[in-house]
Amino acid sequence: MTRSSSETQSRVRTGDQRGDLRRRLGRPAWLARAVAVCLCLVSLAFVALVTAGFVVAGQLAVITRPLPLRVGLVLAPVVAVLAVGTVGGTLLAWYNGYWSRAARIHQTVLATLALVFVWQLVSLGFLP
Amino acid sequence: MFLSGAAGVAGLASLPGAGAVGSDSAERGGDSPFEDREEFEATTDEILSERIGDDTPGATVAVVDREGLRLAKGYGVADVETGAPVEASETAFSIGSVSKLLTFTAVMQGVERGTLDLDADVNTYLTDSAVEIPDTYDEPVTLRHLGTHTAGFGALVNPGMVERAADLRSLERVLAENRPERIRPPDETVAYSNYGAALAGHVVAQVHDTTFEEYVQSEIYDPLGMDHSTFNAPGADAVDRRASPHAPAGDGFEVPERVHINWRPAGSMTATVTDMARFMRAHLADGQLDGATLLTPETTAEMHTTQFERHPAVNNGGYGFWEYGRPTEDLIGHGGATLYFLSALVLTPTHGVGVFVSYNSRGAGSPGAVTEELLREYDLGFEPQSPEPLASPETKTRAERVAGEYAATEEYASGLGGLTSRLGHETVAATGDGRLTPDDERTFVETEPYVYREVDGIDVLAFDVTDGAVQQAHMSNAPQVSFEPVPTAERQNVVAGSLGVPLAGFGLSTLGYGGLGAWRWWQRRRGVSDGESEESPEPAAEMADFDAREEFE
Repeated sequence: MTRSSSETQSRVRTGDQRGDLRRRLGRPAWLARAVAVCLCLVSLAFVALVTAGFVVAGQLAVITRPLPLRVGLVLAPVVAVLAVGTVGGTLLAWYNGYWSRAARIHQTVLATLALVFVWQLVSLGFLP
Repeated sequence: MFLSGAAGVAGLASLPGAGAVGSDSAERGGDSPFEDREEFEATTDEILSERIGDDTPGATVAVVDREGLRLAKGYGVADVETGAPVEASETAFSIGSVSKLLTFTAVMQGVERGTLDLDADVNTYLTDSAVEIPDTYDEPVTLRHLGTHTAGFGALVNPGMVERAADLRSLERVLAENRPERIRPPDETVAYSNYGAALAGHVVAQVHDTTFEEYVQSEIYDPLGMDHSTFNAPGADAVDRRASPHAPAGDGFEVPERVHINWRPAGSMTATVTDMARFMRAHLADGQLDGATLLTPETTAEMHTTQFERHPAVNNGGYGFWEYGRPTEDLIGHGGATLYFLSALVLTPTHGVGVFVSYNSRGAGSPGAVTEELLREYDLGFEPQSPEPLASPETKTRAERVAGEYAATEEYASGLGGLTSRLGHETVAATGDGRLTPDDERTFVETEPYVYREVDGIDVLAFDVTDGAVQQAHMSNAPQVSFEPVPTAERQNVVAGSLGVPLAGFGLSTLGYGGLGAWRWWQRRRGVSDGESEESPEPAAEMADFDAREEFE
């Protein structure tokens, strides 16, 4: 295979992937689950960063706000948005019958946990 | 707050400048608990030597009695990088909230002059200011409320600390821009308020048509001869020699950037210990010092006596001062804490003794423990008690009734306030035999209904109980706040569960998604090797491929 043909094939593959992503973004079922995945990852990152902030600065972190804490605080509203998205995706999943029943139950559990988690974020002052 | 801390074993000799540095102890005797000057200085040295190097790299100590300055002495170093020793009469420390004593002294000077009224609405003094206190409740906020921390303000987690001197602003601006909510009616309970103290300083400045810093300079520093003190106004020259801030780092200390305080009347003062000794002497001598009048004897006594009583069995608050030590004694004082300095000032007017200690670090121990140990050594109000338990069949029932989780009335209202408040919850446990344990180290026995005294200590726990329900709890060693039962939804175990269960679910789901994606990717890849497919999606992309109906079947 020549270099030019390799580059051409690479561009074709990249284009395919972009097209694949666009195709998936247009599917509510895929979006609903992707939002839930993001919720899990961002929530875990949020807790890890806030914990790191307090490990670095102790209780004074609420005043000194070390970098990990500041980054974590930025993620708090993202968690809230993703939680709302997860709840919406769950409602759509049941209404439209996305996935299997077990997958929908799992998504429902995640949405419930997301609401509890956001309630605590509000209660603890991470969200207005 | 007066926090006691564990003192490590330190070596004075291991630090440059340690030992009898900067000592200018008075050569006086007479009517003093410290008759043997050398023995007293040796006792002080021993108490500090246990702490220098472990709790703090440097400390400065002043002790006064009716004869005058008994001891002013620096210990350790003012800066670990330069090794400069602490000189009592030269090295200025940030004294944090001890500054409030000067602020409220300034208020009482205004009351004596007739320019201020303790019971007038503070808004009447703010007509030319951008600061205005809202009429959230029928009762207005007064200077009496500010001096007793009963105004009912919510607390802000950052009392105006900024990283750069360039960020210092006028007091009017910072108070107008950072006003906390009024969350309780005035006079309902004690809730320590930095904002309230800063507001009191602003009122003083407004009615005297000057700045707070200029007022203190002309009416307190100059008359008392406090030549090495400043409230660090924006643009003002710093005192010549300031102790550097320190933070624990490994086995030692490092020098962080100095922080600056915008709410200056609440805690921005820097002073040498000899200056603080003059302030203490004036308060112990009915407001007089070397021909200068700080306050009249009547006003001085008013500041020192109880102005707001939480409960008769515990320490309460005077005007600006907090009662301290055993509740039956007359000790008063104030603690101070900035990010990197800790201070404690204690007066015992009956004995005419005052002690001030400041650290240039915020480590494990506190200067409050030094003042406590020193005063206990001379039987001045910290001797442990052996309380006689109340013989009552109801004791066990009452202990179980008051056991539970409590939150301080100093409620943080914004920012990370909820988290800060939750971290500060106190749990009182009943031991099953009528005693209480508010922590792992201390036990309290009931000596009268709903009043519990510490065994081999000085603290007292008292509860207000109405119709069998606890309304408030009061800890004698924490006169700045009271405590209230925590609603179920805000208890620490509920919060931990409400965070922990979702996080466990998120973590397990993430593992599940990842595992499933990896498994499917592996299946596809195996298919490629079997010649079934040319392309294999990446695991991450596969992980998110959830649009198939058969997923998770």
